[in-house]
This record gives sequence, structure tokens and C-alpha cells, in this order.
Amino acid sequence: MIIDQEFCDRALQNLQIYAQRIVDTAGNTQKVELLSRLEIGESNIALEDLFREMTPAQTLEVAERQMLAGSILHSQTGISVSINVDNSVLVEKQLQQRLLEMCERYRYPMILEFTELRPMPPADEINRLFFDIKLNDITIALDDFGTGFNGMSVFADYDFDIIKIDRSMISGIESRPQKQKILHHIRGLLDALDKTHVVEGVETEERYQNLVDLGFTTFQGYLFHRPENVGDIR
Amino acid sequence: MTQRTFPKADNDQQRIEVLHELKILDTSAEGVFDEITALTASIFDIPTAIISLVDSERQWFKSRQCLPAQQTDRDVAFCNYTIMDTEVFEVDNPQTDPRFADNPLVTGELGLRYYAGAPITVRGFNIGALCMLDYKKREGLSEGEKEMLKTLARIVARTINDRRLIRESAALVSELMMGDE
Repeated sequence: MIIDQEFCDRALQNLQIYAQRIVDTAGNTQKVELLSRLEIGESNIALEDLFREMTPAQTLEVAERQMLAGSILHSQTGISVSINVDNSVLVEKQLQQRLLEMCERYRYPMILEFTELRPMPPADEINRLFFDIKLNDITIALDDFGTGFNGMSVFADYDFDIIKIDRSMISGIESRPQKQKILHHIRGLLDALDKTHVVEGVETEERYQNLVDLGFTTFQGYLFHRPENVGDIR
Repeated sequence: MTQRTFPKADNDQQRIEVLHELKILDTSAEGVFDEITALTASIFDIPTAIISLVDSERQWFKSRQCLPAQQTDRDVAFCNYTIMDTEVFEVDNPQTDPRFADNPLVTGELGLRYYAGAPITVRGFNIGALCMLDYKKREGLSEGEKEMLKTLARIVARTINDRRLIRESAALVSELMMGDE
């Protein structure tokens, strides 16, 4: 299938929004992440692939739909909602401003997740934007930590409140004590930096136990919950 | 509006470079700094305590108790005087002090009537000040109280430096982790 501009335009009309629960060690739902997917016939295309082709303004439109769906979900359930924002939005001043206006308009306890699909603008500029966004009861997460562009200075220099650790960072840890040590150290650094975390892509009981032993407390993955229809979240 | 004059050290540019290297300007609130300013206000029984970082054209507040502004132009900053020295800088009657009598922080809505600040020294440079403000006249600090304010400012300095080191090691560890793949 070819993903081009025309396809993106149509896609925007057909987005389906799902929600995946993020749980603590007691299995309680801490928050949900909204996921937009495109369903056309047999194919089921992940948002990340679409984001690569969409214009930055289109990705912001997707984020706004999620904010709206999230505000309904939040008002009905009281659960915090995590929303993906493509970081191409951060590259354009005008879109930064639109994002800030959206946050001011919706204003409920939401989490904005940014991936590093593209290199991030300098930290001082982005931290100023994050500062203003956070005045609206909003927290900011770095998605897919461990897969990004800017080395990992993003974790250190940008004011993310939540670090979402990518599945690639935890793959094969059972048999790799050195990797476990580093993960344990990262866990400590997160505390020292007053950041919270979510470990993504947890799929087996063994890996989950390993991560709990290393001090991690918040998880997302098929072991716990698959994405659900937004309306099924209670 | 004409710029007010204020003292500036010969190494001000170097001082600002160190401040920028610490990557703390325009960052989000952090609990530890808010705790220190709250503690300072409480110890000295004063309404406003601030961690002010003196940038090239502005002073920016990393933490502030009971002050609406997030930053001011540099030329009105009392902290310009504090960062010239290693001791506490105190102004207990700004209305009759020729350096401050026409300062908008004194003549304007804020109505500043008392200032005391201790420099925050990181890597040998006074990047800012831990300072406190009152809006009515009050007695000057005793020698013991000045020492306390200086001690609190040293804790702020240490915390700012540690904060940077933790961030740099976080970046380093994460890079190692990725290189390990």
C-alpha cells in the first residue's frame, strides 16, 4: 500500500481511536494511552507510519481528535489520558502556538507523549513551551525512550515528566546481567531527576518479574491489556 | 524606556556562559528548589523568597514564593548587586537609597521595602542569588541570620550543580545502554 498525501487526507477521515491501559504492580489502571489506527479492509496501519507522511499540521489535527476523545473519556471515568503528539509539531513555531492553545482550551489532566521521530529543536526553546503547557494541568512524556535521534541527551536536557521505556531497551534482559545493572541505574536516575516511568511492551511474566525486581512500577503491554475500544474503558 | 545602570563584573560574560551551561533557565518547577524557598520564607518570617538567576538581559526565577512574575528585566534587579560580592547584600530602606529610590519594583505596584540576598556560587561564578523581599519596613539581619542565608544559598548552589551532573550521567548511561545493542 502506498501512503501518500491523498491517502493521509482520507486517513484523517477514517481514524479509529483505541485506548490501552497502563497499570501498576497491583494491576490497577493508572492511566490510558489513546492510540489512533487506521482500518481499511484487511490492513491495519499504525499511526507512526502515517505520521511519517502527514504534514505537521495534519498530525496536530490527529492529536486534537485524541484530546477531544480523551476529554470525554476523562469526564466519564476520571482516568488520566495520554495522547500522542508527533514532534514535527515542535519544529514549527506556529504549530507550537496552536498546540498550546489546544491545551488551554481542553485543560484536563492529560499527558502529551512525544516521540523522537525527528530530531528535537534545542532544549531551551522546547522547555519554555513545556513550561507554558504544564500550566494547564498537563504532564509531558518522552515516548519510545531508547530509540531516538539526539543520542539520549533528550532524557537529560528536556523537561519530560514521564519517560516511557521502549521495548527494545528491555529485550533479552533475562540473560544479560550487565543490561539489568544499567536498567537498575537508570531507574535510580529517574528518581533523582523526579521523573516517573512506564515500561512499554511487557509481554511475558518472566520479563515482568525481572523489571519489578529492578524497581520498575508502571507497565504497558499485552501481558496486561491489549488496546480496547474507547467506549469499553470504565 | 531608558535602561537603568547597574554594576557588572568584568567577567560577566563568562559568568553567563556558566549559567547557560547549567541548562536550568526556563525549565519547569522542581520540588527541591520550591522547598528551599518555602523554608527560607518560613525561617525568616518573610513573604517572598526567590531563587533568581541573573541572565544577560533578565533575571529569571527558578523558584519563587508569593511573587507573580516569572522574570524581570535585568536592569531593575537588586540581585545585580548581590552577585558582585560573596556576602549578603541587604537594602532596608530602598525609598531613600539613591540606587533604588526610583526603581519600579519600589515605586510600582509591588511596593518593595526590604531586600536581602546571598549569592549562589557555582563553579566559581555567582550565577544568581537566593533572596527575600518584604513589602513593609523591617529590621536588618543579625550576623547569625546572614550566615544562615548564605548557608541556604550554598545548598541551592550545590543542588544546581548536582542537578546538572545527574542529567549528564543520565545521558551518558543511556548512550552506553544503546551502544550495547
